[in-house]
Amino acid sequence: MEKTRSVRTVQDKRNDKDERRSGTMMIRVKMFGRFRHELWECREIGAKSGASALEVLQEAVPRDSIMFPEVFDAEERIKNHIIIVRNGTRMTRAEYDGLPLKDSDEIAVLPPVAGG
Amino acid sequence: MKSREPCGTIGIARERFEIAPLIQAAKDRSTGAIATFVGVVRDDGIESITIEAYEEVAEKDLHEIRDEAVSRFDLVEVTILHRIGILAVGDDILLIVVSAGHRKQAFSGCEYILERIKERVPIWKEENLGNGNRWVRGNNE
Repeated sequence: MEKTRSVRTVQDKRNDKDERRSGTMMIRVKMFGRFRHELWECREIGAKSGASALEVLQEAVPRDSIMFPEVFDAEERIKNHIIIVRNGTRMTRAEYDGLPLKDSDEIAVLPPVAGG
Repeated sequence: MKSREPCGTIGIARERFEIAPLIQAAKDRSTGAIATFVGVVRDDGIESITIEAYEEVAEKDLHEIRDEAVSRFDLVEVTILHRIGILAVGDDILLIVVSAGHRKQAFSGCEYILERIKERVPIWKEENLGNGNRWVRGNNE
């Protein structure tokens, strides 16, 4: 147990160093509902360190796909009825517009829900 | 009065569920009313419907909604089961069973739970038409 924790710490430090050196991070982006059908289920997306969820998604969603106007409005902001979840917790608009993501974060893009 | 943890079954279901035993389980000596809601696959010219969920978040949401309803309406027991997978016309999609001391609490609690599920739980439906598929529009779209 102690050994595992020690190895992880060393690995974490290596990752931090690599991230600072390269200035990039990897974000796991998951899609659900019709977004999953039209785009993908889960992808690792490279982004510059400190990028927000909005910036990651602007890079990740192809501009020529039919889903781009479904996800973004005319000003390329995420549409109001779309929910962004970071590591299992919903983000506010202020958070997904400006909060810097961390390397290995997972964000999920949820179209309007239709349960019940 | 000593508060108690709410009982009942909460979750996403991959298989059909039996409704009658879940209603029976909602009774205890303080129960004066049980309200039940069952959502069913309607025949809108479809062959079947595929329901998917972001399960990790949906399960968490269902528990939060249960807790909110218990607190607001003083419910005794709550069961919420939402199916995922491929369902045929007539299959049960959603079961809500709410027990309370009085009917108004039970009805209000049941409706509250249903509306919150429609509003926020990450679940989506795709209708299978035989000659293609279409996604059901979101409840807030």
